[in-house]
Amino acid sequence: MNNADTTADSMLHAYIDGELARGDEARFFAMLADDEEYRARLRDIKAIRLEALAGAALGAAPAESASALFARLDFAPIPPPRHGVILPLLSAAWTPIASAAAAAFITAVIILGLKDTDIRNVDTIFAARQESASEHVQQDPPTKESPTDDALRNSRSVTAPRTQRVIAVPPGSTDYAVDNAERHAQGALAMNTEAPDAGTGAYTGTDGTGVSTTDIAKSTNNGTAQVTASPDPATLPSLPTREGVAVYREGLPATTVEQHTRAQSGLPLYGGDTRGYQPSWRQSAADQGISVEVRGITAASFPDPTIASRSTPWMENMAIAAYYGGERHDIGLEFGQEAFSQHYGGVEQGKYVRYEQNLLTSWLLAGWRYRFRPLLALGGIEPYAGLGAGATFEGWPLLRGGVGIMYMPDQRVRFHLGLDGTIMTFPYQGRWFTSKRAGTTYGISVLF
Amino acid sequence: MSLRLCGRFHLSAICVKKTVPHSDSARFARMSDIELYQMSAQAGSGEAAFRELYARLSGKVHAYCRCVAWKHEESEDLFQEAFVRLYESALQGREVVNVSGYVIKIARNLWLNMKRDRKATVDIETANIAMPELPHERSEMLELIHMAMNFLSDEHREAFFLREFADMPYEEIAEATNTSPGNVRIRVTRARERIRSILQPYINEFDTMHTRKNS
Repeated sequence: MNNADTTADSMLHAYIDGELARGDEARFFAMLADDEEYRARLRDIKAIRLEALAGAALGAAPAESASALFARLDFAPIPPPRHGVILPLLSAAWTPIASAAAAAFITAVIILGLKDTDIRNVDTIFAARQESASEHVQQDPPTKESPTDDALRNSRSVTAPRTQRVIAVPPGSTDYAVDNAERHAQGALAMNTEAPDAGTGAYTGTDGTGVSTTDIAKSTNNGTAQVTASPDPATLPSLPTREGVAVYREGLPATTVEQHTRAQSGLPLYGGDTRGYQPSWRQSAADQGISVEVRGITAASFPDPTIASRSTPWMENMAIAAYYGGERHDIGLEFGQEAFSQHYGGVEQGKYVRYEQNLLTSWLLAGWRYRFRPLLALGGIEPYAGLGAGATFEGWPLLRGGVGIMYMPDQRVRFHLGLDGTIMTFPYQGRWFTSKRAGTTYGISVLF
Repeated sequence: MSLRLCGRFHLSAICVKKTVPHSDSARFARMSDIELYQMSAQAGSGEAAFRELYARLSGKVHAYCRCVAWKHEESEDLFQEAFVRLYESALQGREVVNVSGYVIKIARNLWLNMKRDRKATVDIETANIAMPELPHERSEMLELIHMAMNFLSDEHREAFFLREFADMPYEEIAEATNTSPGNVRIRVTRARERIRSILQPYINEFDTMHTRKNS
């Protein structure tokens, strides 16, 4: 073997070991290009090395060896491996299992709650009220435009010309006139013919007598008469309410407005021409405007990270979002930062290399959310389900899904609580790996 | 009331288990081999630290022991004894620069001693039929590599194993085998070429298989 052979050998093995000097690269690759046998040697030795490394990665000391060793060292025995299916699953994946259980619960609430609670209760309550009222009020037959009960069930925002709605007052409301004025101010009970100064928050009766908590207020607006009646708390049942606004139902035709007084009906009802009336939760800014959200994310990563994220972000595991809300659908953009545990590997310079990192990455996604009917029996809690798709700033695709509930203590504020699952995919050496996160999310929206 | 308290106390005393809390596991997972080795001597967390160290090194050491001592009983003895010595070294506060290389070196020295003691009694028939006992899940090609290693000298086989299977740097192999890095390179190079020449008929098929697996 001459010197040239020795140099060729050393370069070949240095290359396989990943130690080829930069100065030798040109000569090495030139030899590779010229010499088929040289290429074959490189291919064969590299293949043997790869197989050996892969085989070594498979081999681990058997459990019996560890038990025997630790017994010799007087260590505590290694707990036997768990058998069966349930316990290992529970210990390895309690977070997704808990999330799935919570998701099932929320789904059940959505299905059962929407099916039976609010509409049925309201029907029952108002059926009794209508029956009682009919003893005192001579009703005209409903106009053609009046929505049927079925229509009401299907849509809470039915508006029809010359439709009168009967408003039941929420329990505990002892000052209905004031309460109603506040609703005006909020645009909540926007009874569009009720007061000429609707929206100013200063409702006063226009019959010259003023309004008190017990009086019947009678007013006119554009020639249309309205009547208000103060509530009698003792007669009020526990109505499902939302945002302090009463449940409503289609009621008497508009022609009976003037007859419909407390004295006649004996009911704590409010009568008025409610053309254009929308319940408050259908008139809120959330339905027709922009909402800005901030939410935190508490999630477990899969695969399980064994190293911590080393960066010091200002918003790790947080997201901010802007959504445009429709009647039930919201669409928007979300930006967030989360640490994704990544396990991946490949061949580098003839070596199997496996990496793990817990990368804090920023992402941007487009989101869609569907808000279900509010559960009046549960204080107006609004379930939702959403999906999002986007990418991290590294360009890796990201898919997110979640379910949860929202609560609006105020017209401009909304609290969220939900379950979130995210899957991110990323490539390495032509192969795609995934990283998953599952957990809870919680946040607040401000509506504009 | 006092009886109940006493009973609870007694029960809890019985039920104490020496298990590693999850938080400790996560903490140890982030520590280096040297830190774990040093911590192994400490009271309290020493046992857990050594368990983590064992988890990291046992696969490599076990494979090495199987490589040099083909008989199952011998490789098991070698393996356990190496870790016992490593633990004792930690308890004695012996300074170690490279734990992985150190435990391999212990195993190697033990093997050399074992081989020397065995020379007087080993018979030719046993020596000829001795084959490495490989796990079933290993590929056919891997078995062929192991068989080809039979044709290497002890030094070449050891160097080849530590480089190709244990993926140790040449300097560490040199330290573990009491030789120079240059010498290790020569041994590894020759071993590779020798194994390649032995496996030449299988290589093409093996290469095709590997390419298919990767794609």
